[in-house]
Amino acid sequence: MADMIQCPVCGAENPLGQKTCQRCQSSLSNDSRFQPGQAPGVRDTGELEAILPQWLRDARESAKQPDLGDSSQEETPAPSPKTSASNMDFLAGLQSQAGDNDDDEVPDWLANITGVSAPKPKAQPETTEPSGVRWVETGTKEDFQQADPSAEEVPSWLAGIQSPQFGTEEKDELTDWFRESSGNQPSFQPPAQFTPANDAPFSAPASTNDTPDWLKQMAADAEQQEPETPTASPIGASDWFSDSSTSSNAASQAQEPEPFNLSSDMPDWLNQMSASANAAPQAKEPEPFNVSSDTPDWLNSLGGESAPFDESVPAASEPFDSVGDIPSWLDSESESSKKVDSTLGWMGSEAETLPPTAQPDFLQNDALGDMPDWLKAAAPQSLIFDEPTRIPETLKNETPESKSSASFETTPAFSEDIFRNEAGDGALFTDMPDWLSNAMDEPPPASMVPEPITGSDALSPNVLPSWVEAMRPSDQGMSNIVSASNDLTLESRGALAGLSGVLPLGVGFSPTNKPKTYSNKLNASDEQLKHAEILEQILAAEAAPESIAAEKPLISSRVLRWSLAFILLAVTLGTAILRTQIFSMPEAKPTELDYAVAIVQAIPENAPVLVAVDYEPARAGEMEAAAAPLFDHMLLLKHPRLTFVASNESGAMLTERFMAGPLAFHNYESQTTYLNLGYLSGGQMGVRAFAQNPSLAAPLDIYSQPAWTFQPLQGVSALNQFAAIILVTDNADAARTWVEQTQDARGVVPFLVVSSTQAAPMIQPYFDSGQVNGMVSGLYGGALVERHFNSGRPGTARAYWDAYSIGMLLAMMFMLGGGLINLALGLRDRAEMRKGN
Amino acid sequence: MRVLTAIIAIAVGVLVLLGYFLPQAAMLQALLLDWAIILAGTTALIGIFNLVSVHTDKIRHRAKDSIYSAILIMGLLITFILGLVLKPQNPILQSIVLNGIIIPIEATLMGLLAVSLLYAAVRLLRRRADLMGIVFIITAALIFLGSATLPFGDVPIFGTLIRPWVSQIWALGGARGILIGVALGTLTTGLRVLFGMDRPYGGN
Repeated sequence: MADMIQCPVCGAENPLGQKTCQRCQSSLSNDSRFQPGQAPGVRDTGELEAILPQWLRDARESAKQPDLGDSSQEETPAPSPKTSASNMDFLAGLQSQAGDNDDDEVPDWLANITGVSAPKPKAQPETTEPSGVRWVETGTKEDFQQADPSAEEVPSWLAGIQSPQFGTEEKDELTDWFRESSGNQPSFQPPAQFTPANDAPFSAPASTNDTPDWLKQMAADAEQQEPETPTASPIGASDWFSDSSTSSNAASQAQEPEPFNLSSDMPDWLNQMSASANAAPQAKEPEPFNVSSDTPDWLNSLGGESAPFDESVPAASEPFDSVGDIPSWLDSESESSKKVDSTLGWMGSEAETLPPTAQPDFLQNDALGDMPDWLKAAAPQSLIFDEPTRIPETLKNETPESKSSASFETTPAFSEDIFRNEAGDGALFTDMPDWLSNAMDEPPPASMVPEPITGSDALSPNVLPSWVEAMRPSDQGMSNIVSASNDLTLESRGALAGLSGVLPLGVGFSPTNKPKTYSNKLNASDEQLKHAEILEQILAAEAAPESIAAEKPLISSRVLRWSLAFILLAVTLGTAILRTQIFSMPEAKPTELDYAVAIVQAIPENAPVLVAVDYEPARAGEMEAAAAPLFDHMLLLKHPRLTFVASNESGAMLTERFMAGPLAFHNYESQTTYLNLGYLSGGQMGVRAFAQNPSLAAPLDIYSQPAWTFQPLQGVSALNQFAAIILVTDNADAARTWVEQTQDARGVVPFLVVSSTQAAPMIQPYFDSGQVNGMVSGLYGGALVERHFNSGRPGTARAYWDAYSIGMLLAMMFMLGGGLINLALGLRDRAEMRKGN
Repeated sequence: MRVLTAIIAIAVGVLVLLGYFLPQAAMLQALLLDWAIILAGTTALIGIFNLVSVHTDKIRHRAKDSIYSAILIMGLLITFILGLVLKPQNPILQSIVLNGIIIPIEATLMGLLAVSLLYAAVRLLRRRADLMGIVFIITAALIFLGSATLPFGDVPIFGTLIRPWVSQIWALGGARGILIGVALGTLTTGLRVLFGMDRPYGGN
């Protein structure tokens, strides 16, 4: 990255040594960028050579030729080349190109402009005419009645301006004039009031052949009053000038006002100047009209009146542009005067007061006005604005031209109103280059400060013309932009969240006033406030939590729990182990029990009976005690072929336990007299499938043998072919499943249920509805069957009955006694709680 | 996809329902029920695998009381292997697994439940001495007294009148109400599934 150069414009990285940015093509060298207050540096503008106008190139070519000498140029102070180069960077390229060949080839006009110590010009042959100068091609010197100009022939106020080759050297009519116009200045310092955009008004006109009114008026006045009164010079612009002026007009008409268009009426300042020529001892010098070889109509009309015409040439309007084709008024003036004092009458006072070498600023600007736009645009006009402020106070006080400055103040050449009316507010400065605008803001470094102007045309800082002030770029907009760019507001939402200063406020969008404040005082009456207060109290009461009296936690009585457990366990275990028969068997027989025994007694001998087992091992004791008397009674009476199927996982094992336990003495053998089909998976769906097709749902027994081929299932292929279906379950849902899913499949086959005491109430409705034909519930039912229908066999119910009965009685006593005691304690606690509250 | 599952579910439900009324649809109903039985058995296996996975993770991460998970896994494996080798009806396996472990443990839990329920009933009026608590205690006492016998026979009035009246009237009435509610709920649920309003198989 050290070998990279960052573009100051776009920020792109460029290789070291790159002169222009690869992205934006802007110059990368710091020298090329004009810093505010920085004196212009040397700049190679050789590339501009190709776009130079032909006349200028010809002029330069001719300047390269050996100059035969110009004695007048010897008087020109020779500033140091360095200083001149720094001040004339926009012509540095030209100078360098010229200097490459020969330093002496620097044209005089360029030397005067740039301030380079002009080499002593060599005498140029008078016959040398730049072929490129079109005015020479279109006309001759004789057309304008030019005579050999000399310093002695021009008026005194033109003495220091006109070059010795004035009129004789057709090669460069501007060079000498420029040389003279800036002969006393160490360097070319364009007037402050001229910017490249403002040059057009001065260079644009004069292409018309119509005599402006003000010039006509001036000519008429001159004829009437005195022969020296200059008339307007209807200068026909040369072709090159016409082209340049046309182009400059075309470029400037769109955006630049032309307050000084000579085709219009005479501007106020000129009227005022001309009117108060005597009053203003240092009147402004005339504008440099571009005089070409084309003779305007008014000049042709005045051709016969050469003398008046020559004398009436308005020196204030177009004095020196036509070097090679000096109008007749100038020739005549040169001839007639033969001395410095031979100025026009109306400018006599001015000429007397003006120093010979002093040139007003605007006159110098007029010289710029003849320059092409590109050259004017390249001019380092930062010094325009710097120069007035750099003038020492001593010089300011000593400068005799303070009066002329005052005259400029009184008659501003540019007024702000003009620009505003023509192009709108600030439109003039929108096209200003940055270096020019910035030059106003920052003073140049001390090293860059040029030498103070010691000439008579120096303006006092305090007397800056108003039109200069009007041209100063307003820094208000810049300050707004800077303030907007300094806005580092952190974006909190959207895609730019987290970035700061991304979207600064636009200029002019900042709030200009504070938001209007409104009173927050409620306009309500006292009654309304009371109602609002009541409403607030109601709402607060609604939101307030209601306090609940803390209830004393009930401490678990471990002693009571262990005491109950110990008593129950001891009594039941003791009774069961001792096999006491203290308590008598129950007497009351329920209806469902009678139906169940009747169905068992109605089963055919050796008939197939399906037994569905669905109870948990935890209740195996109860279920076996409840089912054993019924099955014992059935096996004893009918010897049925039993087929067991389980609808829960442990049913198959419990079946084997049941057959090997309470019914063991019947000697029923598996696959012979009874068959265990095992677990019937699928819950209700399994029961349904078994009801529809038993052989398909349970084809194998628990030994993985084809069940339906064994003796117990002989002649049975459907559910309705069983003599009876007995469900042994402790689950009401299992009873419901079997009742509902097998109802249509079993047909009229009796369906009995042996249930636990817990499930009996839930199965009782099915018995009442006829879906269950008989039911034996719990130990109580088994004891009844055992006692009433089986002669006490097998005695299982009897074995548990004493323990069961005493356990029931103990439980009842504990519940009643303990309940009463705890009820009393609870009442006491509540009474104490009420007392505490 | 949700539409497809709904269509399948409704179609199967309708076919199984038609099997109860149309003999021609009984075979299709049996086929679908067989498929459902297979799926139910598969879910049982999946449940077993999930149980093993959960407790294995607890053992691997040495979670709290992971020793019980280890006992569970060991008991499962032992029972499964013995069942495959000895068959469920083997007397040795039956005596060891069923009579020696399953039935005593579950019976013990039932006995503890009886003691706990008795203790809770004794302390009930200490906490809630309201009408329902008193009714509950009195009802339980009456059933206990009516279910038991005295050495000289049934408890007069309680065993012959009160207990049958309570069990056959109040208890039976409550049980019928519960069963009717279950039946209505089952019917409604079946209709909602058939109409696609409830999709317990997924798809909301």
